[in-house]
Amino acid sequence: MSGPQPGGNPDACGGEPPVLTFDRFVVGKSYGSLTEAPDAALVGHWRGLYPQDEFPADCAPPAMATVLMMRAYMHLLSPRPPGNIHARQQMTLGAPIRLGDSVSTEVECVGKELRRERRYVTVRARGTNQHGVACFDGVLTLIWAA
Amino acid sequence: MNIKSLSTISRDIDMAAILAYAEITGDFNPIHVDPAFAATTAMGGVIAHGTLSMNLIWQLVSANFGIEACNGASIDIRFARPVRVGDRVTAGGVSRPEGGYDVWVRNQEDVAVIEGTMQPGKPKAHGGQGGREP
Repeated sequence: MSGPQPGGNPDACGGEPPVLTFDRFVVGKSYGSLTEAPDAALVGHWRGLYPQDEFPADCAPPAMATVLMMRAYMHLLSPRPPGNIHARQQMTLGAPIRLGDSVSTEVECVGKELRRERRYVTVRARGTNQHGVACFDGVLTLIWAA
Repeated sequence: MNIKSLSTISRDIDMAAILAYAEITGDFNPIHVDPAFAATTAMGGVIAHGTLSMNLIWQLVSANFGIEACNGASIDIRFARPVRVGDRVTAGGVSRPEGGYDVWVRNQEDVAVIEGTMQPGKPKAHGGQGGREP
């Protein structure tokens, strides 16, 4: 797996960015993208975790899309307040991810809502390969802690 | 291909699995990896990453319909309850009259920790970098 590209949320002075609270989310805003290349080492870790999962040797497992989505979410929406809850996940898989592919995942806030005193944040994460072909499209619904 | 009841997939969730998944995803939230911290939270202890169990639903697709059916497959699930260290989770599903599948992940007490729906993709010949767009 290649290292993450810069894509955090630094403040204008280049210091530590402020915690991304519910109030700071801007619906419709893209929070950037993270480009990563799943490699044999990552797939090896996966096989250790899910030994029953069968997939071609030159491909990442289909569910690796979940990993790329979560890594982009973790990297781009940071720092987060502790205690957020992942409540719902909608996701569609696209083209298979092959070893060596570079997958760029863009993260966008697509909604936020106060409901029964809970702060719901909806985030869309779309992954495309180096050819511009969609690999996955996920929508995370989170209960934001602060 | 229509399968009425999907073949199930199970996994034991131990601390080693949670730590391995934290490494893969980069998600080291202390609620998942720090028993001392987790004990102080409303959860009362470590809970597994929700997507650690959700991934079993994707594996249901490939195991039951072939890996080609993952291309264009979709899920809509909610994380209903936490998965604890020591749980054994099982993913399964049954066909819906209107199409697709009701899917779940249940713990060893047959309590759903994930519930939702899944629609397998329609396998098609593809090559190169092609593939159905989500």
